[in-house]
Amino acid sequence: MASLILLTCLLAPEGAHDAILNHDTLDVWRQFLTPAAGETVADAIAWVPSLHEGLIAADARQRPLFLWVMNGHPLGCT
Amino acid sequence: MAGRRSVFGNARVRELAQQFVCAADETWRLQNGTGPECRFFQTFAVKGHYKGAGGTKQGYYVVAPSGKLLASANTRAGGAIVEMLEKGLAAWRELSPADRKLPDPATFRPSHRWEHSYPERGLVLERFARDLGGTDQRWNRDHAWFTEREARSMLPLKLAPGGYTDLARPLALRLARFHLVDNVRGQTLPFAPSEIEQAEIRLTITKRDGHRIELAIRGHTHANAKGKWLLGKTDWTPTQEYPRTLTTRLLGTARYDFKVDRFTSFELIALGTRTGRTGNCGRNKKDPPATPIGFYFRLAKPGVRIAPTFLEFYPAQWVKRPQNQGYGEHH
Repeated sequence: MASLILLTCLLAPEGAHDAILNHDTLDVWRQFLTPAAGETVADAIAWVPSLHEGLIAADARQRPLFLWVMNGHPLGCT
Repeated sequence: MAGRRSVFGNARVRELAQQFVCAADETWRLQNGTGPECRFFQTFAVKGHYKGAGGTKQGYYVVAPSGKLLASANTRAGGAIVEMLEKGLAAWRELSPADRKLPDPATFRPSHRWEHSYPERGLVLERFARDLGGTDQRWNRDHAWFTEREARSMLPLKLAPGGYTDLARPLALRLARFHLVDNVRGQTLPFAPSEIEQAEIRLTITKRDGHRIELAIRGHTHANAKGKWLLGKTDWTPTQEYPRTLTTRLLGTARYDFKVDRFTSFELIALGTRTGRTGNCGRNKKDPPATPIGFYFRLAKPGVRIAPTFLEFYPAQWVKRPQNQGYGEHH
């Protein structure tokens, strides 16, 4: 079922409005649209979500801070 | 997205990361802002891989709590990040306690962050966007925020099967303007209110079981930007016109529990078609003009406080805005 729905989209890329979207297919779309584990490897790390909180945590734990910054929050939209 | 796979897919990077406190943050604000946290960042970032004032400071940094820069890089190569982390650790081990020491919090505690507007006890959604069809596997994530009062307004007055309500216009516009946008491959622009030609979302109770109700969500949106930027002078103001459209059909389910007074589940799928592009969204003239796109909204994990990309554009009184911070100002 999932393959058929996705194949429909692949063969008719402009037919998204005609794609099958109903309560029976919600699970299929959820699965397709949710990133798989391999796509969210960064989430395996326990990120503190801000520089200032990271500094405080690093000091408390006596560890260096590994800071990742991007245009758009790396844990949000980039 | 490709960069984070190649960096964090590297097992040695993940292994080394355990020897650090790991933090992530948004660089535009940090590199341009004038508040304490931004100035603190700029002090070490200007010594890093993109030396000097001005310009992007995207990348990875190893920093002591004191603000002393130990290593930095901006690369998609996992191996190079391994080297950076190892260099940073070695430098950390050589640091004296005095050189490690966290300074007075006044020197780095922010007076404004968008996260200060986090809607306690509200409806906080995580949103994924992905192309449908094609071979490009990229996706992007964002968050959508609604206050407790706004969430409550999504419930029908008639709390029985069949009872329904149409999502209040400001909330439907919020979804259509800021969250049903083509940022699959990179950051994009929001829509202006007048560019939303349709934003109709209905919530209907399908089941009631004591203090719990289940709802079905259905809707349609259509955004049509002719190209001219209509949102005034902001950090996002583009340098050229970007005509674009985004049309969706929405379907979802939700559960609300009156004992805890909140949504206990919320899932919304939006499928549609996008046309056009914006400067940083990763589409180019070689791409097909119209392609299918999908979105998935779900409850964010508890405690996740990452501000929506376009929170500064939410026309909502509860959003706390920066004052003279060097970012987020609209003219």
